[in-house]
Amino acid sequence: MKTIRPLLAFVLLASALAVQVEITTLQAAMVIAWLVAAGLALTTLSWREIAIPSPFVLIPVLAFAIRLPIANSQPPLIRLFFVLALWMLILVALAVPLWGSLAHQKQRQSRSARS
Amino acid sequence: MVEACYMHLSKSWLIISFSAAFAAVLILQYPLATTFPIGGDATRYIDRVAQVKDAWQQSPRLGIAKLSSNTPYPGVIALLAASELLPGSWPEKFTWWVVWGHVATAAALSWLSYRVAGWQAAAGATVIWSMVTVTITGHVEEGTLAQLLSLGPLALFFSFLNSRRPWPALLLLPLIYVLHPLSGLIGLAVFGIAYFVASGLSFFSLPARLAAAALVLGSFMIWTQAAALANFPQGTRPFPLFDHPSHPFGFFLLLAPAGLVVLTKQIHRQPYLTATIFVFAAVATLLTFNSFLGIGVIPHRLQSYFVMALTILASIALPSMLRLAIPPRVGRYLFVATLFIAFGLSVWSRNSLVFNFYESPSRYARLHPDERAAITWLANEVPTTAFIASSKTNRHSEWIPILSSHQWTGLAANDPIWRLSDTQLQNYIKQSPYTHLVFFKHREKPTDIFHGLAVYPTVYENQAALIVQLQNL
Repeated sequence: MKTIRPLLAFVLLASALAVQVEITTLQAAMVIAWLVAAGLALTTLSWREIAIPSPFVLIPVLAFAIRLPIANSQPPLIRLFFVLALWMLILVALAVPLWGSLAHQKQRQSRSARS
Repeated sequence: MVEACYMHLSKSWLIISFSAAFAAVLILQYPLATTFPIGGDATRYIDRVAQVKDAWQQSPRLGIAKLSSNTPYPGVIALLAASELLPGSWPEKFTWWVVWGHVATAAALSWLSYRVAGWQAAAGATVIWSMVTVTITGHVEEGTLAQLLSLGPLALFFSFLNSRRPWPALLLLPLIYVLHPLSGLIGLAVFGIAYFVASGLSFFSLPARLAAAALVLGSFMIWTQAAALANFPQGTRPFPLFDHPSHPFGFFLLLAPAGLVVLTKQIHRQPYLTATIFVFAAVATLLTFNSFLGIGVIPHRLQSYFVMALTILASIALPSMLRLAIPPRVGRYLFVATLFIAFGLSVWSRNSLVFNFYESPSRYARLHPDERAAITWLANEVPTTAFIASSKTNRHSEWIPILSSHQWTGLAANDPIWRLSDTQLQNYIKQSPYTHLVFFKHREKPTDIFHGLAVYPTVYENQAALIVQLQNL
């Protein structure tokens, strides 16, 4: 698995440079960048670790996919505040257990290493 | 061993110095390539400084009261007021405040990246930020000066969020808030959410309690400002990078997802700092693209936070990606040097286009040199007791009181002075305090009654400006 990582990094740098000389579009390179990030995550991190940043990526993606119907009559900034607050609440609800379980795993590992 | 350590240190300092020099060249392009500030809000800041100064001269208490009531950016107004002690004219000082804002932000981002991923990331952050000063964030425009000045302290605040007891960092929050309330609120929200997340499941731990307090305080502050916030302008301008896909910053944008992976590796070592960057990236993304949520509140003012988040993530990712893709050290350094020089030249050339546009008198994008000459004539030749009037439809006239120190008022398009004639006009002028009327001819055609009649003599005229004396002093 480790041998794939240099290739992934190379692909990422090459596609980012390709946008500079207009060989490919920014959108296409963004898809490659996320695929490379996923590949790097799979080859670098444990499943538990991969789960950690997932809420931080998923929340913005979900937020743009699902427009919450929060009182359109409210002034825009108040609406922005409520929408953000709601999504952040979901983020906390998702991220806290993941972070907590990682910390728990870490504690268990260090305890077993000590014993 | 000592020698190896010394070599490593000297090499890291060499690269940090190179990146700082690179950033300095791009940031200093603005004062070197322009002779006058770009943008239209500089005069508002200076006007508020003058109001505070007048109140302060009456009593320091009044000065402080004025400072807290006449602007949402009291910290910036206080800084500008202090800079009155320095030599130079207001336009020059403004240009240098913008430069300082970029230098401070680049340095703070560099420090933040250093704390997460070492000196190579620090060098990367400096270089990346210097590339976004014009096209991507539009921060040479003075309307964003307060926000720009708050970005450095915000990045510094994040860099201190590295332990369970973030007291020194929390001391920075009020400073960020008085520089720019939005940055202060974002800092408070990011701190609150990140510390909730990083405290794991222990809701009754100190970080969780601090986080809860921060979130309650932030919500309360927004609630109390609800009426003022309701008037925020709406806009749907997309992120400018989409208009400039081949801008060098696009390269770094594409490294950001890999930055998330590299950052994840730091969770065990720096749980609070990592959570802070994750949360900041999520909040900045949601804010910048709030148009996609159907809201559309000032996206062009919020994108600076997104660019900051991308700069941090890209600077963290760059050294790792380079190490993986180009194992030989010499090859890696050659690649980076070539890349940065090519990017630097590209950014310099793109920025030049913007600066040349504003410098060109024919574009009339900012105060015309002939208009400035007319204001300078007012300053030198007309007694300070004079009262200057002009149309306020042309925002260039806002520079009259600042560059001439005279009293000035901007007249609305429906002011009687533009439509009355003969005796009625004379009576109106007699009752008014105005002694001189200024026309900036690129956008205003002087009415016949004020051009060539002996009643209102022309006291100054050039290609772009006409000054008429309305009554004797």
